[in-house]
Amino acid sequence: MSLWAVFVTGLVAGGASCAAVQGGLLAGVVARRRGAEPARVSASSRRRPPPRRQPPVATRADDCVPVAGFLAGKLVSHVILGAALGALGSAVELGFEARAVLEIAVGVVMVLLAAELLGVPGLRRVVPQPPASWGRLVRRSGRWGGALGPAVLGLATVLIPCGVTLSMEFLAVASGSPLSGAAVMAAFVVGTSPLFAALGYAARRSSAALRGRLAVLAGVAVLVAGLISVNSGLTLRGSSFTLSSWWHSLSGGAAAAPAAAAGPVGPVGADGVQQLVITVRPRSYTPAHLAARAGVPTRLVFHSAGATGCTSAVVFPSLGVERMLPANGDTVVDVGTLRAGTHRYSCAMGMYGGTIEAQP
Amino acid sequence: MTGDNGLVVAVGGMHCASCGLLVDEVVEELPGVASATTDVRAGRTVVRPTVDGGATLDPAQVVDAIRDLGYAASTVEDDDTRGPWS
Repeated sequence: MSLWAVFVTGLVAGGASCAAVQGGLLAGVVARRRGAEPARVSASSRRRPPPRRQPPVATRADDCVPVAGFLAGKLVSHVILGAALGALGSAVELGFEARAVLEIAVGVVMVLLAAELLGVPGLRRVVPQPPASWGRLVRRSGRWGGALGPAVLGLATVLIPCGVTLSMEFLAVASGSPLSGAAVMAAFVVGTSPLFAALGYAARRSSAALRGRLAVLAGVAVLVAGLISVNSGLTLRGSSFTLSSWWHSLSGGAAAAPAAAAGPVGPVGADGVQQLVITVRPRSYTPAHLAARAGVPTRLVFHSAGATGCTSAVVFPSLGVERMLPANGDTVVDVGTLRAGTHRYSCAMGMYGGTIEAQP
Repeated sequence: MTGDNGLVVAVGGMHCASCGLLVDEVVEELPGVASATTDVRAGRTVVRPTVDGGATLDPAQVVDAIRDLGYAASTVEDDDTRGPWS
């Protein structure tokens, strides 16, 4: 999944399923700090006297401070965790096959989470729950922090991930580097921020009402994110059962057959080696479809033209080739003799790719 | 009902640990409540009353407080735990 997809997942799903609830926890911390005892505003207050504290409505300009502190704490702890998870993925040297399987597994888990959010019964146990002691630690954390309570609470929320957050943590492992892992978690937490900031901690009841309305939307968003993750994993494995392949099949014309779109087969050099040049840009490999001769020694030349981000790591599952590419310059890879057929390739996250059609 | 083991409330619509913490947080603010412990996976909250002879635990108040958060809630005798998303 790209960082944008992670951000949007946080924006819709994370905000609805995590931030809205944690807004209620933040409300408690702020109310205790102020010692406020405002009147209850719920419907049941008309039936009986105010029985408990209700957090104050955020009307003062400085009410944004606790929210900002909470989000900053949450961002810091999640970025650190993301870096650690990325380092873990790096330490175990996940190959592209393992990363592909991890992405597919994450996608399947997200689809199950989506089903649970959408009301499919019997899926509650899909989401691992943290130990109860961690929950108690989170509740105490906001009280320990004094004026910094919201920030400390935000830091501590890393201990109580929801299912969507857990999925992002798996993606951080799959990213295979501390920087990428940190970026995944940062994109997710930043994505949850707008909804959280909009909700603030005005009232737990408003958070609950919004969460109820957004539950279906969150479920759909998680479902889409899960399918994207599965698709990325399949693309990474070089599978022909990807959304891209289906789109090519459905769209007709030249795109329907990569072989037809691949153009003419290039000449074989005087040294008996055919050379295939692929230009690598931040969001594309060009040409996306190349024709080649099967049974001929082949050299791939990746011409990087500002290749940053996902496309800078390219994977050819069928050729067993995986390379990190520089932002600019050429990278030469001898891949031996091509067998006839379609050789799919993609970036390391399975977001961008293309094919080489080796013709007999 | 409120027995020796406290009041048991079935809660529907919880998706994560934060939901459980929020329920505990709100229920423990009610008069007559010493502690609340929510098991998200089991979908229930156990509420223990205070023993100092002060305020009395009101089961209806507990259920109302949880429902105010947007979750379905009922004491265990009832069968009204289905919320809009459970």
